[in-house]
Amino acid sequence: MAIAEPDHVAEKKPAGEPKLVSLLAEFAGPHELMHAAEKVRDTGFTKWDCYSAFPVHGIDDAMGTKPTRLPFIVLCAALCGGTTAIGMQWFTNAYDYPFMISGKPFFSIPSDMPVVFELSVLFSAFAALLGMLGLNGLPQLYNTKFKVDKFRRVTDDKFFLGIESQDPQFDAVKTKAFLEGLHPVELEECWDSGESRAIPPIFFKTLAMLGLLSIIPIVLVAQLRALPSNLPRLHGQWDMDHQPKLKTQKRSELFADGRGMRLPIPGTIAVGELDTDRALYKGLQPASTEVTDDMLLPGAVDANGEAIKNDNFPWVTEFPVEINAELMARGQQRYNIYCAPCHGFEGDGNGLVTQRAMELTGVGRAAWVKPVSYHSDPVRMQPVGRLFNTISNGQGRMPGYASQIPEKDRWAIVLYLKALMKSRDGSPDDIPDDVKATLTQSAP
Amino acid sequence: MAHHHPVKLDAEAVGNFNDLGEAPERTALVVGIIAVVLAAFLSMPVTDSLSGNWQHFLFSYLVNFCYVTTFPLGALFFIGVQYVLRAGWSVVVRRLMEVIALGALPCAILFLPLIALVWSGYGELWPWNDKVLVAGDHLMLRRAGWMNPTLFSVRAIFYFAVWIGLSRLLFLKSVRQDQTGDPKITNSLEGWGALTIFLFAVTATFASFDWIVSLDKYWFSTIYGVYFFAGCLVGFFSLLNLIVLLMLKAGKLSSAVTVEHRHNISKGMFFATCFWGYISFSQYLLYWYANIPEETSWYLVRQQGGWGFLAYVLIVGHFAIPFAGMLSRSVKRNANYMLFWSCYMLVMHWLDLYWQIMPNMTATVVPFGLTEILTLVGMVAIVFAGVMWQAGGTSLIAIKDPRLEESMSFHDI
Repeated sequence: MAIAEPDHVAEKKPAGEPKLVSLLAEFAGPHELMHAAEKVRDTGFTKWDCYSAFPVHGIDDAMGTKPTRLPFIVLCAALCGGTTAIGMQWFTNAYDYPFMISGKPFFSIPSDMPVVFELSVLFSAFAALLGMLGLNGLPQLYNTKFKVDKFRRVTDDKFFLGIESQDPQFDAVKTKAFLEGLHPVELEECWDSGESRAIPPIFFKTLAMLGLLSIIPIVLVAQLRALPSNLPRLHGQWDMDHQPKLKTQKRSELFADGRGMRLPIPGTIAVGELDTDRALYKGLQPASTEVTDDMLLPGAVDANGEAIKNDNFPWVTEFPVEINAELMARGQQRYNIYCAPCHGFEGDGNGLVTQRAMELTGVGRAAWVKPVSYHSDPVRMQPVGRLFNTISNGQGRMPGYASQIPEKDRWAIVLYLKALMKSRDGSPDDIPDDVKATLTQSAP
Repeated sequence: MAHHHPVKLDAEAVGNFNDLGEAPERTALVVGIIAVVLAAFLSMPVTDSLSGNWQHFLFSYLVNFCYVTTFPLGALFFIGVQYVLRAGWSVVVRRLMEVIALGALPCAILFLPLIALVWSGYGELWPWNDKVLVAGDHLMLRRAGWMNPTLFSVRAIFYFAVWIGLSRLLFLKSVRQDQTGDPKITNSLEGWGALTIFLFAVTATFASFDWIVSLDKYWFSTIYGVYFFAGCLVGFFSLLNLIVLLMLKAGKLSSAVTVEHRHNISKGMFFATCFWGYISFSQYLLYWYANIPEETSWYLVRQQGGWGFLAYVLIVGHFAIPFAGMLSRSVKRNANYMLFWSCYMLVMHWLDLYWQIMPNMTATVVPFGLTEILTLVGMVAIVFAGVMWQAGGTSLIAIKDPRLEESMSFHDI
């Protein structure tokens, strides 16, 4: 039995005392290793291990290894992945930014399942790999045992059993005698030279240098983004930048009528466009089925070619939406955007467009008709449904705004119109009593 | 490494299929024929006072025929895989797989009445056989060139010729090796195994379309063959596990089959359960997403009323519960737990086929009753008799397989 004499004992390193780390017994093959492991296990050692170049079946039992906790870690990770997938899909598509895709529900278990599956597998795979590494204490960058030359062949064709000196039962003499009793091919001592384990300073210097170098590409990109350039843009992904898709308002050779944007198929209704509420969408009484959509358009004619008067249509006289200060504020804002340019901010019909157009009309360069003032009786007496219809479909020279202003905003504008009319038509009785009191007090 | 030097198995000690009981095939055959005939008799139009229904009997017959056929099909496929991969672990249980595959022959005999039914012009089982219906339906008329009694019978004969031929060949070659111990037989079976896998894939896919998909007038599914295949694997692994566990309880096979082999078969069951869930959900997801009426009609019927309830039973009972139940390694290595899960999965596999086939007869109610039970018991008994009659006095284990030692000393982890 040749015991390797540690060379550093002679050299006397100043850093620390050399220390016996472990005893390594080499065995002829996997069977011998397994028998030895069974004996070491039965003796009650706790800090020891077997080393071989390939997995030896049954070594777990021979070493008395407890069942691994890895499956539970993987199971928890899988459940975590599945929950993350469900939560992520619910948050993105059902809560934070609901987006209709193929008419499917915002949150739907069948379409969530593939992602649940993928994330469960992904989390499991990471947990299995990282958990295995963690439970095994890997990566281990340094192991004193590789200082023993013979031990190096364990990664090739040798079989070793090593008992650590940290084991409570470890005794340099007795344990060596015990291992010799197992009839190893050879018995080696593994000594720690007591050299400093500190990380060499060159490591940190290199790291700092790499950190500095890594700033260079970032600075280059920032420079290119900040400064103008006369070079054409780089297309990193050509087919993403130039997709062969039909864009809005573009022509298509595929269809006979040349339209790229298709009209709804007859008999179908797009999601959210089932406008059955006649009061809300047309400004008409719900029961008024005799009035068709065509009759609401300006210049509508009946079967005899005579113009249809809409004065006596069954217009709603009450708002079909809830009236509150918020709607009034919205109506004012929308009015000032869409209506005021021609009708004026006060509804007199002298907006800036009208003023300029009347000047041009005066010199024969335009033919403008001044809008009727809201404060004139014919307009003031109109039911709210008719006002709504005028905004929707237009009147005389005025075009319809149905395509630009959503229904609820059109009702908001009607509400604001009523407020404008009231501003010229009010009486002291319209003022609430408490407000009236303050007006009286503040009068000098 | 418990078996460093495995003992050679001795044919006497291992025992053979005749040791399992005093002529069980004869009893089984009598019981089986009585049960099926009784179910048919109770369903005859002349005895409608017994609440029987001829169409119901035929659908039950088809459900149970498909059920018993999935076991030999799964076995054929898996034996082929074992040879092609030169698997060592499975040798101690391969004879049992070979015997399960022998079920192809009695299944063929059970299919003969269905061929006779098709030729009689009966159209209330498979609508393509209803001449009046087909004549007035453009789509079905276009399909009549493929779905007609002649081609249907020719194809069925081809499927069964392939299955019977392969199952007999795999069995007989393996039995011959019991005598000679010739390793060349194992080599030649590698080639046959590859052919078995290929022919299985083609025939099982076409057969599932002929027998099950064609019950619907228009429906089609490009994944259905794989769905059927997943069912075959669920059935086969569960049955194999059940047989192994029962034999071990009866003191058979214990000289060779260890917890490691049972663990591997249980892993097969677990895999098949996951595979079934994956495939059946894949089929559902694509139809749900595309939402095209001609495709969703199949699920529409199976999502309403009693069938809808059964659909949830399958999602939870055929996938979620066994997935959670069989996930743990210690469960897979526990004989008693796996005995339960084998029986459980055999029931779920039957419910799966029942849910696929029966709604084509009645979309409104689940007609489960005595007819189903009698035909199931009868057909299982008949196939059992046919298998035992073929297995005869062969050894329970392939005792001279060149990989037997490897198999017996198999140790997982």
